[in-house]
Amino acid sequence: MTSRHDVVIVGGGIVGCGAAFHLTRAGAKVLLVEQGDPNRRASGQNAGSMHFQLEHRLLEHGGERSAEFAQIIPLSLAAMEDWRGLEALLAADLEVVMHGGLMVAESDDDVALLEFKHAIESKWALPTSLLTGDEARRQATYLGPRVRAAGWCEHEGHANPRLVGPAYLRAALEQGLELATHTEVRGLERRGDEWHLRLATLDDAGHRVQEVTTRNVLNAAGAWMAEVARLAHLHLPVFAVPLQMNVTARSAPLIGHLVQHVSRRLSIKQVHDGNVLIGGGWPARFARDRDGGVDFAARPLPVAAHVRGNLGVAADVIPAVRELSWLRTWTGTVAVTSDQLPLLGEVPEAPGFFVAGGGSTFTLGPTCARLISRLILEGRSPLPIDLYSPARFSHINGFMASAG
Amino acid sequence: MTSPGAPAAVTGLAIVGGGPAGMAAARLAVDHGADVTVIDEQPRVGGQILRQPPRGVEVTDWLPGAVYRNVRRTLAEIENDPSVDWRLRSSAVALLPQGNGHGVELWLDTPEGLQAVHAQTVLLAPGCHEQPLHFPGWTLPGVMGAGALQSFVKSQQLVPGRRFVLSGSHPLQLVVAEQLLRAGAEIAAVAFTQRPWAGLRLLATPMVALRAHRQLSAAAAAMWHLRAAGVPVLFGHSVVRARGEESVSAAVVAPVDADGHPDLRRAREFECDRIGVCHGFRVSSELARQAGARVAWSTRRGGWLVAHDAWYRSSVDRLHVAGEITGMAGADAALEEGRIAALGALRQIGAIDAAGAEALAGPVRRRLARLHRFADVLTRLSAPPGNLAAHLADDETLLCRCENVSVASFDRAVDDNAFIVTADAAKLLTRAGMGLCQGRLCGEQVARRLERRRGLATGAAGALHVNLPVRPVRLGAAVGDED
Ligand SMILES: Cc1cc2nc3c(=O)[nH]c(=O)nc-3n(C[C@H](O)[C@H](O)[C@H](O)COP(=O)(O)OP(=O)(O)OC[C@H]3O[C@@H](n4cnc5c(N)ncnc54)[C@H](O)[C@@H]3O)c2cc1C
Ligand SMILES: Cc1cc2nc3c(=O)[nH]c(=O)nc-3n(C[C@H](O)[C@H](O)[C@H](O)COP(=O)(O)OP(=O)(O)OC[C@H]3O[C@@H](n4cnc5c(N)ncnc54)[C@H](O)[C@@H]3O)c2cc1C
Repeated sequence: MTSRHDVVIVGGGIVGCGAAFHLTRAGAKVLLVEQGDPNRRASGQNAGSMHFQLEHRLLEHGGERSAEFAQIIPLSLAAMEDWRGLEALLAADLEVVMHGGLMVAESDDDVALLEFKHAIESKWALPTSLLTGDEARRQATYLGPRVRAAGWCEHEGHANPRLVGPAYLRAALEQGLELATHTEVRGLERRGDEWHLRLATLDDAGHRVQEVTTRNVLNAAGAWMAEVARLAHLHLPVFAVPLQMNVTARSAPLIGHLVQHVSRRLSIKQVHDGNVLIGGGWPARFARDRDGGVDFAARPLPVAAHVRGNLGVAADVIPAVRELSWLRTWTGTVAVTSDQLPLLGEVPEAPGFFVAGGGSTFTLGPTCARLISRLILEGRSPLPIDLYSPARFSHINGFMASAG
Repeated sequence: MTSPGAPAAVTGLAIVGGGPAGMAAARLAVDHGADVTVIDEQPRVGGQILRQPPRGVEVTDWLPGAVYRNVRRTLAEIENDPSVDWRLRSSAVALLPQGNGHGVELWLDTPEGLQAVHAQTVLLAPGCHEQPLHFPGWTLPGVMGAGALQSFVKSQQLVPGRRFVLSGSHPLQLVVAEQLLRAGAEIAAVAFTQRPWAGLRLLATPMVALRAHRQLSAAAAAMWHLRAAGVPVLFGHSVVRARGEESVSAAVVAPVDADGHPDLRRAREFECDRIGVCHGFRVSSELARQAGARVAWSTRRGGWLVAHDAWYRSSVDRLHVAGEITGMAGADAALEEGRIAALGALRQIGAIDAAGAEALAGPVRRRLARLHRFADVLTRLSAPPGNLAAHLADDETLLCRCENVSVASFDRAVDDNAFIVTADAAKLLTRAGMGLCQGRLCGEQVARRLERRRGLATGAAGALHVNLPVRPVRLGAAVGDED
């Protein structure tokens, strides 16, 4: 490993691998450091939904807050374009399907929420429309009788999260990326206009520690972004949220769209191989150690009631799923920011320290990766991203940064 | 009856698996006043070795012979005990340790739907399953495990085919061949991968009084019967391909060397409609792994064995283990391990004091030590050649039959993605091991192929992570059926 780089990327998820692709494509000298296997955390464990309609989690806190969350829409609009071109860009089959998505409503309150959501989306030019229950059932014959109305967005769909990160990574490696897996970033220090990183590699020989130097650091550590920032004496309001997901055994084609629920936690779709993925943001819980303490490093544990709850909503909306086999439930950890908007930009208190992530960064991953790369390379993003800049949290770094 | 999410039924000791280990543990725990629940997915207890006929089915002469004496006695002592809460036809599909002495929640897939049981402590005794062999044609209907063939004969006196070829490295196949022959089948051939002298040399090991080993003497007796009946018993050979259109019509058998490399020029074909593969067993540690218990790899003793202490406690709080999942050692050893694990669990729930447990465990430990020495010889005697599967599989051979992943496509993915070094990451990329069986059948080959291509040591690619449920469950049953 050479020790001087233009950019060191911390984290080998979709954001880190995507940025590695764009940066090396432009000829930058890049090192990507991943503490485990690439694409094994949230980016390989997520549901693969590309959802652009405002999600349940953004709506559940009511009017004013929801209007703030609508600031995500410009990024969503860019993401639609990025996904449409991604398979060609990477010359890889990623199982990208954009056959449209429905956000269903069951009750009167749901229908009102759907209308409210639609009004905000229209204001921000997100192309969605409203369907009655019958219109929705004509479009999606598998929907059950409880569906009273639905929001429709023709650009929604899904891709295979198992394939996207590795495809970016393969292409980046061909373009000269240096990759260090099973290597953890343990220290981050700014000296002059360079960053010095301490890396610890765990291999058969034990622990190897080394130092590398770079002009720029990209913190793409997902749910661990706050920890990585803290190594540089910075605080980011990013919180690790354990989530769980379910999948059925493969079955004949049944569900042709991405289906979500406007007031209950549900996202459901059938993937290329025939499995039906059922999720929607149901929390898991952090693992416990032998003494009953909490173990943040271990895989989170699924919550029984939430498996039942999640499968139950699915069966309410699409009754035919009752006949499928529930094959597996798994958990992963996602990063959520304090205002639910992504973090994308340079930390003003720490020149050369960039962050990208937070929220639904599978949907927005390709876009975040592309924009942050341009910002690092050219000093500006082709799309205004000030709304997502870590500058909005500068107040909490007043104490920290000067000590670094 | 409750379902996950609702308050669970409560028990003192939940035993998963009603085989020798589970039955012996249940007897001892009930005798000490514990509340015991026994969970088994079969309609009757007894485990693999007894594989009882269903109630109401009369089978004359069911399992005669000294091999089964101890386990049959234990079965008789427990099967009709009404103080046990029997949960039969019920699969344990998830174990959720609650930590810090709060016990374990189990999810059971039962004929009445998914149910939860909350146990103060759990004993896992789910036994083992047969190890498949990935050779060209292994997924054709008619290729089966020798043990699966045996269970038809055992439980129903049914001959599941007409003409059989058995191939493997485990002496069990001699017993199975003989049972099939007695039940009226034709045996075309029995092929052993070992050369005869390799086994004989071990048999001469002075430290073990092998003549006393009932399983080996049963195998030796079976061999004489087979030879007397004119059945060819070939040493240093293996099935290398199954032929057939819809199902098996012939087995191609060839000599193999000590690494498992076949000599195809000297291959022979045996017409048959069933091939029984008998390369020994892999322990069923998936529930233990799902619950987070520490495991360690042993090729010879059965794969990912659950690590345990002298009382058969696993690394997970309130999770005890016994029987084959701690290492293949046979039914008699499983009985004794079940007893020690039960004492450990009784200590944990305060039903016996340390001195009492120690006093009872003493003689059991002595018997067990002797049985483990026998088992060690048997596992060494029956080890297949190290790289047999790697040598036999060709490009089209399916590595993962659940997800239709061929050897060639797996190898290509591994070569194209040099950054993949763990079995789990390989599974995520290729889907091999992601299907209905959760990698029970292919997980080992996924790891071995990856390790060979990367030049890693055996076991270095790690175990596949096991998610709940460990068996698929009808979704309607999981959410509660509507009336
Ligand atoms: C169950 C689940 C379902 C989801 N469903 C969806 C969905 O349908 N649609 C959607 O858009 N989003 C979904 N998400 C969210 C989405 O998966 C994540 O937002 C996205 O994958 C984050 O990508 P990332 O690259 O930022 O982070 P990650 O994929 O988590 O990657 C971060 C990497 O950083 C590494 N790392 C951390 N600290 C260090 C260190 N100190 N040194 C070196 N490496 C380090 C980690 O090992 C990890 O590999 C879901 C998430 C979960 C958990
Ligand atoms: C096909 C076959 C043939 C064998 N023949 C012999 C032989 O001839 N002689 C010999 O000494 N050994 C034999 N063995 C090895 C044999 O398994 C052990 O010797 C002995 O039966 C082990 O006892 P056990 O209690 O550990 O497990 P088992 O006897 O295997 O009992 C385990 C029980 O657990 C149940 N179970 C497993 N998982 C679950 C779950 N998730 N939920 C609910 N129930 C579950 C199973 O239905 C089974 O009844 C054989 C093994 C197999 C697989």
